[in-house]
Amino acid sequence: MGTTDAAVTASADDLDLIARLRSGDEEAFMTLVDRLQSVMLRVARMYVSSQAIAEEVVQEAWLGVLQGIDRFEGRSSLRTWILRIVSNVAKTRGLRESRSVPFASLAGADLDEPAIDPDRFLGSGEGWAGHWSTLPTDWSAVPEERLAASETLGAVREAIDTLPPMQAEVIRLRDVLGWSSREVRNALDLTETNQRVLLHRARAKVRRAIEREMEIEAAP
Amino acid sequence: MTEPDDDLTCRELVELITGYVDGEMGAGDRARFERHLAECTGCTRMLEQFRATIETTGRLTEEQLGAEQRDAQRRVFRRWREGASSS
Repeated sequence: MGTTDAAVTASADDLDLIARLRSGDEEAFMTLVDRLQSVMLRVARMYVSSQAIAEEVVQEAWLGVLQGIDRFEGRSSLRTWILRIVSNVAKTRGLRESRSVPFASLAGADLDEPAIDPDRFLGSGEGWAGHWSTLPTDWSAVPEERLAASETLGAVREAIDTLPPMQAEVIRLRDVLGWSSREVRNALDLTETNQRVLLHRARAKVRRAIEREMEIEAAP
Repeated sequence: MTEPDDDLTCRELVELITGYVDGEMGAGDRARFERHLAECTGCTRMLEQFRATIETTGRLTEEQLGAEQRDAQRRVFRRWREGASSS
């Protein structure tokens, strides 16, 4: 197993926040709100029918966090525990709305298809079947500033926003916010394989969006 | 060409890139992956593209939370704290 698979328990920072929450420290609570509210709203929104209901769900989840903090044993990171609470509240609320959301509709219908366009490889009738028909371009020659340019970042943001919700959330948590694979699996209740497949598809689509952006810029 | 049966094609390799960069790959698969990479310019470039994609995605930041959202959660906290101290 890789390094990202190490068991994730409450960190020193988590333990500090937990102690402060238990003593009623409002600033500790607001620190958590600033870190997690956006993620919580998006996760809640997957399971309920409107943004307004997602906001109610998140408030209810925060109350659940505060009421449960005395019993939290730190066997997961604080943020994965909080996300499990919000997704449970949201799923319950979704059921009450008679709105059951199948995993496939969150994950995207394209999970079994190849992440990279098969047309880029030689077909089975040819020699070297499955090898590149045209080589990918060499991005190590691309200046750093171009990858970091606002046009490129805009294209990345747009690509993520149009992903199926679970693919979008996995890439945000992993690659924007830097969570470990284990934490994301715990937080979103995904198997190791599902987490990896969702992330790979998301990264492949973002890669394609950057590639398009390069093609536009390279055109005369 | 005479390749052993367990060698990866490029098309197969690209589907394994996330497992490779995240260190979620067994030793045998990793060796197979790296054996292919050592001889393939196209896959080396694609791996590099994925790494650059991850790095570029990492430059994004979450949008700041609106004041309204913050105030709403603050009220949740204060109600909880009052309830907790009066019970």
